[in-house]
Amino acid sequence: MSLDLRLFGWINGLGGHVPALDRLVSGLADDYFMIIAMCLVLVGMWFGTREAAERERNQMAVLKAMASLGIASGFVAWANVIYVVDNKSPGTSLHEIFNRARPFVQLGPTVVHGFYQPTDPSFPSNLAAVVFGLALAIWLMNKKWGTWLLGMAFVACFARVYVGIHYPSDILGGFAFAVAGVAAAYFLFWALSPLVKLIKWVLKALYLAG
Amino acid sequence: MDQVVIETSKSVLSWEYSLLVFVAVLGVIQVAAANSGLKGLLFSPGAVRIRFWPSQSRWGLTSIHFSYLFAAVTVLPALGFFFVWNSHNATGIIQGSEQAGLFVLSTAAGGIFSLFASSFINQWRLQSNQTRAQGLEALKEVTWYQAVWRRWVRNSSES
Repeated sequence: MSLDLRLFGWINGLGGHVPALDRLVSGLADDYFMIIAMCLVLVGMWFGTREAAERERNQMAVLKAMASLGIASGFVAWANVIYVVDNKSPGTSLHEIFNRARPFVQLGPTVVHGFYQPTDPSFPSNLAAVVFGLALAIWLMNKKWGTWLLGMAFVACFARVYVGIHYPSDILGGFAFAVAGVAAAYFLFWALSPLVKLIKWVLKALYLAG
Repeated sequence: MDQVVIETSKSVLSWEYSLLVFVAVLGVIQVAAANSGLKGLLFSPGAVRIRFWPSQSRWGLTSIHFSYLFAAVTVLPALGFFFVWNSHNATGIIQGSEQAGLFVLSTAAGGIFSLFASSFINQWRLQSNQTRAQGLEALKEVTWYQAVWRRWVRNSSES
């Protein structure tokens, strides 16, 4: 048995015993809950610091996080269009990986604890790409908030395996897309720094940032 | 016929999602503004003191208390709805890109509403304040409307 399957069995095996715990974890695994909670943290970071210089640094981190979230999600969507929607390169290992069925298809519906059964392929976890993309981008500029956000991202991804809709390797795949998204976002901010400065100036002049 | 039903429920879900994000953003902005001392962005017009008759003791509600109270009745219920979203709406009908768009629009709407509402609520309280600060920092002394009006409208008309 592969390490991925063993790890899935261990995490997923924690579920199905205590209904209240299953209910709690399925809420944490929700498609919307954790992403929105993390984005609300970004809104709080935009306004919520007493020192102007620190607030400006946080605002830059928020802009980078938004960009990396969008880029990471875009990378996942792009890969899905190539290998799933357009069905390119059939028979290759990449095609197989991106068309991998959800765990409950392979292992039976009993692995799903208190969650609906998604119909799209399992790899990569789009949620992992988004939440880690956001958290990593913040962590690089603000260790305190970044660590909290990374913790939230980890909890959400753990919950997705617990409820039985992702393998751990799907989460790792999402994490890899997140790293690529963060790198691309930071590169874009560096390459387009005059434009970024102009946007910052406009927002500050309109009393919306700074 | 089925198509009509699906479209209707999708639009209802989108509205529900947007409204919940809007409400949550209002609460988060209030807490953040209270923490960072951005008085011009608060919905509370100042401290409120309540005396419980016949007792002589008074109970005070400061702007910060009010902001936390406001956040408690906006952010927590909204997040609660999202916590049970999948169990109420069995499939993730709002796709990722659509969700991102709705979130940005709702956040912008929440931010704009906060700026206008706080400018209206605080317009008399902060009327005589002056500031040379730029950006959000100015909202520690004046409202957003006062800051924009003094910088862009009054200055341009004086020159």
